[in-house]
Amino acid sequence: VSDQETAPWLKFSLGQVTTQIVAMPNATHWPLVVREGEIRVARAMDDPDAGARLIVVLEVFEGSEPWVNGCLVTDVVEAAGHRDVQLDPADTALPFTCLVETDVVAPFFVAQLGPLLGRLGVALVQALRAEVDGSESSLLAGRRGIPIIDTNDARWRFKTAETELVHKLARACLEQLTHGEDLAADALVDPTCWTAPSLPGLLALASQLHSENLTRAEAPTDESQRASVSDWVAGLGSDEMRALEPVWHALLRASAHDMHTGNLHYEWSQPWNAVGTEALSQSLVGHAARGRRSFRVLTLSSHWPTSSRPDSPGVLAVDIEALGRIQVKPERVRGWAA
Amino acid sequence: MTLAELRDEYASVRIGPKIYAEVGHVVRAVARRHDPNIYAGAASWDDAEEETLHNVIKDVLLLERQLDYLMATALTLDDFKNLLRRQVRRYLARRRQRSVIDNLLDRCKPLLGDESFEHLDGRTGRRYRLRGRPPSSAEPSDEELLAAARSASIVPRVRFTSQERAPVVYSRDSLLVLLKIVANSLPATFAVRDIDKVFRLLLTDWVTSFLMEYEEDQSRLSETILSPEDEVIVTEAVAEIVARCNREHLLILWRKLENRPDQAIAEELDISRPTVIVRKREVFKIVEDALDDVPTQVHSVVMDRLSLRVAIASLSGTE
Repeated sequence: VSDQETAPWLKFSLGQVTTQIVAMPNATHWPLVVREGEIRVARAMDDPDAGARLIVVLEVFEGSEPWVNGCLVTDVVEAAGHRDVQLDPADTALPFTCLVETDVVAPFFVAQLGPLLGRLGVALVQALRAEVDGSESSLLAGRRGIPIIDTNDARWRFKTAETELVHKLARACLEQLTHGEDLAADALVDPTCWTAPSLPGLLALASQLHSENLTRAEAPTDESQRASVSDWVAGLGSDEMRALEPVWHALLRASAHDMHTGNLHYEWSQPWNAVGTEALSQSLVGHAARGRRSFRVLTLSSHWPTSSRPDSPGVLAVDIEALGRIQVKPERVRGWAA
Repeated sequence: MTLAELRDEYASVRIGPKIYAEVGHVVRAVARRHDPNIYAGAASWDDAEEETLHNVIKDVLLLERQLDYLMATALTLDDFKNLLRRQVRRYLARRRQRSVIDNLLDRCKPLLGDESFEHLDGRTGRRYRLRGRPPSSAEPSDEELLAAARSASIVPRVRFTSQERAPVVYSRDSLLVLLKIVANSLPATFAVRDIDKVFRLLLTDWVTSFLMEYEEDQSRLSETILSPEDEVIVTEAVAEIVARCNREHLLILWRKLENRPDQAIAEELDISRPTVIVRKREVFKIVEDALDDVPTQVHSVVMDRLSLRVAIASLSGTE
């Protein structure tokens, strides 16, 4: 096979393939929004050696740290046990046959997922959820494999390896979901809020911080923003100062946390086009170095990342040198007009 | 070569010179670790390599769309190469599985002449059923074949290695029991091609073991030979379990060995699920007591032999 000439047998075989090429992991559309039943690639947040695997999204949990519950999917259909369900392209819209491993389930942050590759119908998703819970759904009869009844069966070792792999893929999410309350910063305030401080806007922010009990929120700023905040504060009355107390605490907490992490290189999945992005990024990198993997960033609608769904903007990812990936969920400050 | 170059080629022509070259490297590296006679039916890989390369590209990467799977999941060039290696190993394993099953089917044909079976010759070829079963022209469904394979999965196998040219897999007696279990499980008559499907389901772990590079462990297991003392202990333990179980216990044990849910067993026996749970605990206690005096390293041999005894007992209904 050369650039000039394709062997006739290969030409013929290529001609037999009529499906489109698949979306590759570098083709994710950000901000990312995920739905139940979707099949996507999942990668580890912090372990590049873990590679990537397909998962079926069984449940989506919105909220401040969006995550999904997913079943591992394998192409090794020969390894089917009785908890594995074979799905054909007609079921999934994938070009290949696959196995859904209903006994290998884990939580994943949305930012771990790649582009949409396939999708299951509602009935199949419900049947798979039932399988995960230990009930055998009649819809899946005939699609399962032979039970693994002997630890000498190679499929037992295959399952063990699959379980170990899913632990690597899901570790960061699982850790934050179970111990996230121990980590600092339950929300970050986008430094762009200080570019042209507005009293009604900041009061809205203070109200949100108070009503949601965001007692560990931080508001990182850069030097020039700190100067402009000082000037602006000088013109406030005592009632206004008291009303904005949650905001001052957020500013103080940010300055109390020295987030110097050297010069770790980072890359946003989609540029965060706002003033103060550098301060926000440094804060994110600093918290990531201390173990936090998913962040809620309160921002302004004028700096909202482009999205087809303004009510549910999805999440962004930031890849940080030596630390791996973090998830950022931008949320508009409620009541702060654009 | 970079992953970006391979992705570009895939996006434009699916397989061009770059991907072809990568597949060629991997086929050469993987295939030459295995006996060409067993895995390609050729005296040397010099004769078989090109055909293997073409088959991997044509059948695995394009027809089964595994190239799409590679491209959807590879994050790095190393990922791409590792996934490709696994696809080549998978191709070799399946080819090998095919020849093992062909040998088994050849051995099944005379066994189907056993007095337990009768045959009918029809338009679609020879079909079989257990003697005395009502005739049926229906073909078994995939679901029925899966259920039959599930039942037959408790028949113990003779372990084999990747380097064995003609592995036995099942002793003659075990193979006959397996055919009876399949015939008993299927509501319709069956053909040899149905047994082929059952074997493909039963031997799935062969492909998996090949992929997992499990041969060394398998080889070690295949060399397990019981000492005369262990042989006595195993035989006595199996006899004790069978003697202490009633027919209901044995059926529940068989179904649990097949990993059937309690509710399905309750429906089959027409008893309540709590009763199944009570009986299950009784039979597990019997097995546990019998294994108490058995050395741990031969527990699996006891379970293998017990599976066969339970299957035979449940088929004959005499114990």
